[in-house]
Amino acid sequence: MTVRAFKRKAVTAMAAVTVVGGLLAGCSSSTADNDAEKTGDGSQNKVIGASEGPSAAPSTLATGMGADTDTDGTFPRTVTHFEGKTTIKAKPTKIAVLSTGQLDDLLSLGTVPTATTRADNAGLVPDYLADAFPADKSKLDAMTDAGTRQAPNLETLAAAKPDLILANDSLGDLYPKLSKIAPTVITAGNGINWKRDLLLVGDAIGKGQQAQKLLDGIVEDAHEKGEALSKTSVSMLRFTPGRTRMFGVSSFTGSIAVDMGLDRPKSQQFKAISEDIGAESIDKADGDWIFYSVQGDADKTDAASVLAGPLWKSMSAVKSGHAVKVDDDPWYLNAGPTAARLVVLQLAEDISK
Amino acid sequence: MSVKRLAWPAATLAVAAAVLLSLAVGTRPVPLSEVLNALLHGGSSPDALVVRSLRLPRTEIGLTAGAALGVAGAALQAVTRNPLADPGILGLSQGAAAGVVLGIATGLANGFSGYVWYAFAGAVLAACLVYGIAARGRGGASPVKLALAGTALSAMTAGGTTVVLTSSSAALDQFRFWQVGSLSGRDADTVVEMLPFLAAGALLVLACARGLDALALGDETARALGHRVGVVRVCAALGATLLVASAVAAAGPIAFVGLAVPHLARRLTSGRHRSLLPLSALLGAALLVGADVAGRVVRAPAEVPAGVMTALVGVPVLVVLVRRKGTAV
Amino acid sequence: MNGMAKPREPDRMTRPGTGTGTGAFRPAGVTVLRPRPTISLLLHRRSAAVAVTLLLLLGVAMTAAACLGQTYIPPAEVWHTLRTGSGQYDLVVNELRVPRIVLGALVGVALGLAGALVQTVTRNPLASPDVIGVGHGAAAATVLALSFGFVNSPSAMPAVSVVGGLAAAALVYVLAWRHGMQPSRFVLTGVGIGVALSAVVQLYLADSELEAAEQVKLWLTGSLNGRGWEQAGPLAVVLLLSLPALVWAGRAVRPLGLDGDTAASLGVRVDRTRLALTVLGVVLAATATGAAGPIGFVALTAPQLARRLTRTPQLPLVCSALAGAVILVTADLAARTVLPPLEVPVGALTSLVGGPYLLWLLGRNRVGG
Repeated sequence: MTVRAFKRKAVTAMAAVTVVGGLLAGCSSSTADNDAEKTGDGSQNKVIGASEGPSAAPSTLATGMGADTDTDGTFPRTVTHFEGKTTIKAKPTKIAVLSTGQLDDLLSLGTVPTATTRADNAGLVPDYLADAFPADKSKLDAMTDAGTRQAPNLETLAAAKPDLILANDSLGDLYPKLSKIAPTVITAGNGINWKRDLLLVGDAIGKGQQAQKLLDGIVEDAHEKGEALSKTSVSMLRFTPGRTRMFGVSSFTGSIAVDMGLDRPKSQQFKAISEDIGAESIDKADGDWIFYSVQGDADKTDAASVLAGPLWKSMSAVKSGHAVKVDDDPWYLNAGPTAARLVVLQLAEDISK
Repeated sequence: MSVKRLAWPAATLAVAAAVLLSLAVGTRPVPLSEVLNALLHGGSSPDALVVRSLRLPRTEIGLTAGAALGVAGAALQAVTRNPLADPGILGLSQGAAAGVVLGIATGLANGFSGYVWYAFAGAVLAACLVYGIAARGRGGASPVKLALAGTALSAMTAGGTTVVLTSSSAALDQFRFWQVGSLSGRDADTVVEMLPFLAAGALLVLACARGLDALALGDETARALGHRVGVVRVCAALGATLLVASAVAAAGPIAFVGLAVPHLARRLTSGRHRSLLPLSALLGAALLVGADVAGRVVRAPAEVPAGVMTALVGVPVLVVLVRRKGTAV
Repeated sequence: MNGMAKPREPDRMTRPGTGTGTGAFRPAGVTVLRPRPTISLLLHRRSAAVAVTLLLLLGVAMTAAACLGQTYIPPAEVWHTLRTGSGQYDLVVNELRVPRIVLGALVGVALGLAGALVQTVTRNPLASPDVIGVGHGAAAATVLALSFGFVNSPSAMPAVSVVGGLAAAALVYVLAWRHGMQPSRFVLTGVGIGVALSAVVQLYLADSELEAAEQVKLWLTGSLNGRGWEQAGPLAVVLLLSLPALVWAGRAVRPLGLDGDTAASLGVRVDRTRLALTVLGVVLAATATGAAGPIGFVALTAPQLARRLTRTPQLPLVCSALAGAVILVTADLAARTVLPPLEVPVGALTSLVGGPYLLWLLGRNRVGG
């Protein structure tokens, strides 16, 4: 190989390496970004009002949002939400809910929607909601299946003729189309915003005061149940296929721990909603209690190898029988008042054992 | 000549270095002394548990799967007489992975010993399809045709999987877990289960080593030298497919190890397959274990699957190869 | 003159069985003996017939797509609703179905054109814009932009993906350039860069929160769900603006079907023409990707289908565009209706059908270069 040929080859190789290297460098720096503020996935994942540090779930509506009337049941009303203002002329009777947590909100407020979408790995109605509202079973079974949460079928939705559509910001792109089908209210989405989303949903269906009362009741209950417990730290873990994450203070379950006055392990006092944790540092997630969930079939994903591993068994919470497997749906997927009550109850019951 | 004499010690050193790094580096900082202590004396401290129950198995899987892919790549390149042959590019890995996913989805396969048969069936099917189609007609199985047939097969598998997953999302979890090649979270006894398959594959390929040398001279010459060209091709390809299938069943589809490694090995040693194949095994093991270590570091505390890392390392190699004058593209 | 006939020879050689069928439309010897104007006329007549047929097919597909769905709407009702802009079907027809159908047709046109241009440049029927990295580049750019927070909503994705597609194609072009452009090197480099870019996408998807990641994944497969005029507008503008360039391209692609030496001897500055055509094709493909996500295999199959129908040695641009539109509108109709009420990403369907077609083409050995 001549010197020139070699040089040329070297240059090409270097160019190729630079390109790949640049991409990799990009990767590592983005981790820092994600820590500072969870902008990683666009606006829909930002914890509103939580960029300054760990914070609990905001318990009031975002500034300027909500209905223009405080009295429940008065219509027409204009609701300001995350994509604009929407006027709702009369009390909605046929509501379509498209996003996570909103079905919980509506059922808890005593309203059964006409149409909804399904999450991955789940049926139309999460088991915990079906269990909590047995009286609504026939109405729940009659709901229109409008496809998946990511790609709702708009024609099916239109055919259900809703008079109000609820969705969260991750479907913000569909807002123009949705609002042609029916008046649409867009909530923030994401577990940490569950309280303000409940209030906004309440305002949209003319039950703002009821939603506030419901919320106050849950917070008070959580506080009382928490007071009765001895001082402990709770660790929150979620296994999804190929990944394990710790949930921080600024998450749905994290906010409930705050309301109950429970401590969190040092490793889980970060700003982001969740943080990845590797199999080999799983003991960082140790606490007095561990509440973990597994999405899907534990036996067939890597959760099995972690849970069967000696490192997991060496953790103090596991040794003392304080590692509790919980239902993934209410704990880490759906964020609403019924899920919150379940989480409060389970935390209180298990820890007081 | 001096380079060639140094090849073996250098490759061995590379493997040793990769193994050492793999045992010492990870999301959990463990001091080197602790690592050695854990390996030599055991112990039940968390650090020792991490080294022995997590890092050691994944290093072993990396070594065996990497070696398997390196040998398979060298064999495939000789069989197809094509410098760009790679289990990933040819769609073998994807075929094997699709087999595994099918096995999982139907609930028939569980654990490595179940996976490996599905992987083998998938890989054989993919190999026949891709090579059979590319070799038809004018010009034979040229690199472009093989690459495109592999790409088409991968795209088809991906499209089919998406449709299936849209209609039944229950299989989604297992699929995600398998989709990208990774060494983490696999069973510790996987390596032991892998060995018979690896041994069978390696023996088949090694038995053909002289035949593969002859193939490089052209089919006519090989025949004149007394080799049965068809037998050599089928044996070596079967061995390579067995190696790929067991690597995929253990670690998921991992691309580009089989592409880059044989070229490096060819630089370092004579073109003879009797030395080329073992050297490819060593370098493949070093590359995959190294890629796995890099995957633990770049996005810590999250882990990047080794398959993603090998693709990022392998593509520059592909580009350089394609630009090389001698490469008949 | 001889040049015009040359590319047909392999066609006859590889398909001896169909020789007589071809001869019925193109009598043996005509192409070689008759002066040029006659040939063009002959070609054009068949091409025109194919174009009209494809146009009719497109009309049928679009009408079917407007009538079928959650509820069947008779064609007369659709027409009435379209004209008056009111009535009980106004919402479904004018807001949901028609914008989506028009967008689908436009994306199909852009992809068909892009495929024809790039395949002509590479002289390889299997090299479509998605093979040379446009789709992967668009995907990687989108995921990176979302990950770094450069854009804060998926609605800003189109611009980002256009830039990503262009950048990836440029990278492939530069890396494959060596003493000129060799088509097969271009294709192989493109396949490689595509793999690297999809590795980058996986790298970032692993880090996003689940819900957002699902959203991105849906976009990555290509879908027309919920899209309409907002996406169709910019695409239509780009198509209109590229019309003069396309007219020029229609003339420029002819000599490029020849091998490099012949073309050069005809006085064509091959490399410069190739570059211009590639840029045009990539811009079209990237804009289409921005509007609907990377939809695979349309750019690959449409020109091949068109060529089989017109039986011209070059890839017919108009017919490729129409074929692309027919394919995409039909695929999207299937995407909405096969698994109701689920929306299948249309890109998954086109890959499912296009993959085997690519393999079949390979088997038929339509590879140049």
